[in-house]
Amino acid sequence: MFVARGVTSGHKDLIHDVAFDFYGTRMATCSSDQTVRIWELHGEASTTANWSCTASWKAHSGSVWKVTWSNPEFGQVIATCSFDRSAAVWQEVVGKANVGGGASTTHWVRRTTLVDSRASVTDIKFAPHHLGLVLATCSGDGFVRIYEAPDIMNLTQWSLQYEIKVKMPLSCISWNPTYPRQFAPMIAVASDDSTQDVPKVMIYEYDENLRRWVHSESLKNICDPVNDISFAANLGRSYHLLGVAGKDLKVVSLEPQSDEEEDQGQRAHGIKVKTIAECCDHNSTVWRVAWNVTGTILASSGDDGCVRLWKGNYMGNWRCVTVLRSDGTLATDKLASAAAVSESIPDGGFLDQQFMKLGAIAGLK
Amino acid sequence: MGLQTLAFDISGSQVVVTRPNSSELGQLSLKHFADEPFMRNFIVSSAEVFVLAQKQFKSCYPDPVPQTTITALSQMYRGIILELVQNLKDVGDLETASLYSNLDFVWNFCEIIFLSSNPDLPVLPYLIDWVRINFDQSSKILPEVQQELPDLGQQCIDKVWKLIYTHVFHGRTREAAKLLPFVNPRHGNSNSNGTGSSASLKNKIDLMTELLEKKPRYNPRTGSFTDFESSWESWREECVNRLDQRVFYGNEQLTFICHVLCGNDEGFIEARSKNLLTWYEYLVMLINYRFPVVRPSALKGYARKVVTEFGLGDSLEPRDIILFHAMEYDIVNVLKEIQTVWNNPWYSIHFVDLIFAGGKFSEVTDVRIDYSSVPPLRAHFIIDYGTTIMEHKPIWQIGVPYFEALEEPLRRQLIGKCIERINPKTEMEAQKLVQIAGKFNLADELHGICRKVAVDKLQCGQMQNALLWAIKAGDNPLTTHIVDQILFEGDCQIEPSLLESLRNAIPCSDRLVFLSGFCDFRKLMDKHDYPNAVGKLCQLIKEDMIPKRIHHKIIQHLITLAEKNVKFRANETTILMEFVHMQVGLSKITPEDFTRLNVLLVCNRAQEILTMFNNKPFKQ
Repeated sequence: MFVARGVTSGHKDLIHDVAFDFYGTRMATCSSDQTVRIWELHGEASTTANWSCTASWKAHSGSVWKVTWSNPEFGQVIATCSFDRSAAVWQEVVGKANVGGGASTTHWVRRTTLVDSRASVTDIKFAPHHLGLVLATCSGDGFVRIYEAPDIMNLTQWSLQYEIKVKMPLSCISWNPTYPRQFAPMIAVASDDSTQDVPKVMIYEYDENLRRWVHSESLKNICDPVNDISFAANLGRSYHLLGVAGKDLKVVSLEPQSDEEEDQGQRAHGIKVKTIAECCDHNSTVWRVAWNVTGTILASSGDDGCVRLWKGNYMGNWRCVTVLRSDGTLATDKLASAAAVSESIPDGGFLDQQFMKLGAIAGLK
Repeated sequence: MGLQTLAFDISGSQVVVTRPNSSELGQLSLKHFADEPFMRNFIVSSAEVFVLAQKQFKSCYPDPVPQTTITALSQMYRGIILELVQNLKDVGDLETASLYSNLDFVWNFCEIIFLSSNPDLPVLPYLIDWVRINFDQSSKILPEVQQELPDLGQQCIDKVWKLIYTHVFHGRTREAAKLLPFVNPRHGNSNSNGTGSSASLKNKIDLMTELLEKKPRYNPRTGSFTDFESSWESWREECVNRLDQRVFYGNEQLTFICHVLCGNDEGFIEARSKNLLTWYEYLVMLINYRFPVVRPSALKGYARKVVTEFGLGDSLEPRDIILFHAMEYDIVNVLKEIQTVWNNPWYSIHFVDLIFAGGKFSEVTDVRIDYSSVPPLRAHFIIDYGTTIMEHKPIWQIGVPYFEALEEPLRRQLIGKCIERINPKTEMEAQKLVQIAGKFNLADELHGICRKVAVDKLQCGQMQNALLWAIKAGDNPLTTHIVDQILFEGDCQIEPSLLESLRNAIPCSDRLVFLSGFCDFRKLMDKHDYPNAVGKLCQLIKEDMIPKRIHHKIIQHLITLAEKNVKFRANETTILMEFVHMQVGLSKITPEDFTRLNVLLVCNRAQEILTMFNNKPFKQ
């Protein structure tokens, strides 16, 4: 069902993050060795493809925690964040083609360093591209910072647009990638703090009238430390789906309650929160969550060394459809055994039959 | 932080994961079903039928698509599955062939229950067809018989008897009748029991043939089932009479057949004991000879009894579980079970789409199907299947017609989301994406795609191409940026075709308008049409479009003009002087050039004044 291969990363220390670009043909890794590496896929993205490292540089003076790609319409741009309390934006630049007619070389250039944080910057994510070239960071000092590059042709100029104080050391952040103009911009941010009975996931929305980010909701039933969160693309639903990785995997639905009443210019915003799935299959801490492009598949990784893929049926029930072990072995998959349907039709089961060919039905074309 | 976490990312069917306690990465490539043998063709063919089904749905709307059309579409899908089965068998992959063969078996049954039969009418004819398709051994046995003609050995005759029995079990009595002559050994044949017996055997065979050929058949489209019921009753009475009259006495086989035709226990028990029947065939035999007018919804009761008799009750195979769900009209569980066996939404989407198009269950009351579940089921599977297809880069275009079958706004959102993830490798692919974005009014995505291509071209140094795409994106900053690069770093050469596009395109950037004008100016210079060139230049200056960085180039052109002793008109001189003195200034040009230009312009102006003065009538 799947092919597993090892890739020698060349990093000298633990790798903290790995991120595909939009197309899945490039990849970035970052590590405690303070470097970032860029990888390129050769061959068709199938079981025979190979990754090779095309760039490597020292990005920070501390462990690099996360790396993320911008939308390709802004060019080849990544952002990193680090224990050294800074975040940085990098852009790939093409050098002049060699005189001998060889391929032009590329290298990555630091465009800006964001140094507003007083503590380790734990996550960094680009906003959906319809909001422009916008970045959000979250850090151990409990702040969410939102930056914008007003001139997308000049990535050296970024301005800090908003600073949101959350009062808890933060571990992860996620933008709601939802289709524009239907919902207000929304961010979820979470903490891995271990204080009991305190909600760890907070939802913020941008209020057009007040021109600032407003706290909409704290998820009251998630009080254990959260390691990762991720919004699914919201396609055709009236509610958003948020994957939360903590002591287990949760899928939470957030349904904005649109209030038609305008009470003295203030619009009452409510969000109905419902935990629609609680999955303990990892049987251990869940570290990361990621959605596929249409929000139909959720992937999670856990301390059991597995990556699990989850699919929701049309009733909204989630079940694990694939289990991948990072060491390359296939975990016993109940589906694999079910696929072997034993043959009880006697020998006449498959016969040479006249099957109907396409186009032979009159009156349909 | 500081602990080793298992970080990963997923893109389509690729997963990359960090490995515990190491600086290695694991690369996991899930096998996409489209990469399996013969699947590409399978997927493309199914998409064609799906598109056909959507066309039918649209043209019949708001009426449901007629049952005959739905059935025909269903048979097309089955044809595709069977072609796949054949291909797999041809290369020796019998296990996978078996999987798909089972799927066809199940699809066929579901087609009967959900699509082709009428819940108020007997289901028998469809069942007869179903077992015929799946259990008819004729094509295997008949050639063997052919070979041995005209003298059939005993072994061969036994095979023929088995085939006759099967036909009878299936209810295909006429086919059985056709085979009867073969079991009568020829006169004088050493294998016969003597001349006398074969004559009496022939007599019995004739009688049996008569019975077999008279079995009433029911056509659900044309026949009345009450007529069928009564003719069946009289036929059965005749069979019973024959049995009572013991006309087949002495011949085991024919007596056995008669028992079966009468539908009595003795016949059925013996049929079971002969081990020639699967429970499916037994069920059909039961219906044929005991309950011929049974409706689809009553099948499950009989099926349960049969399955228990066969000792399968406790451990039903997935295939049978699916059939039972179908007999309950429980489409949700049918699809769920199929999904467990074959983790692929192919079956679900294509089948539920046909139910959706047929829409007949909205009228049926005694059937427990919950029609309200069909549209959301269909949407769910379209999204599932469409996403799977669009994630597979070589065939992504096939996903589009599936999403197209959804309602708005889901249709646009899904198509938009998916095409954003396609990296166009060729100009043609980029155009295709643009075309799709245009077709579905995906303005944001269109902008994004064009911009992305423009940026790519820019990185490769293909300025002209990049400019075209930036204009297509309607992106002002990017267009300006590219034009600047062309003006400042390039030699300002623009291809004629691009120039045409520039003129026709709605200018999304002032810089673009300037570039267009500047190219016109250059063209006029090249043609040595200096008076018009100067006019054009002055127009550009007047409109205040000239970027500062290009001033030195303009000066160069002016110097060229000076060297050609071009005459400027009055207002032109003023404009040019202002330009040279005020806008450009001494900082940008060498003193010599400045002097030369100045002198030229002043002389020109003086000349003008003189000419004007000379031409003016002298006023006293």
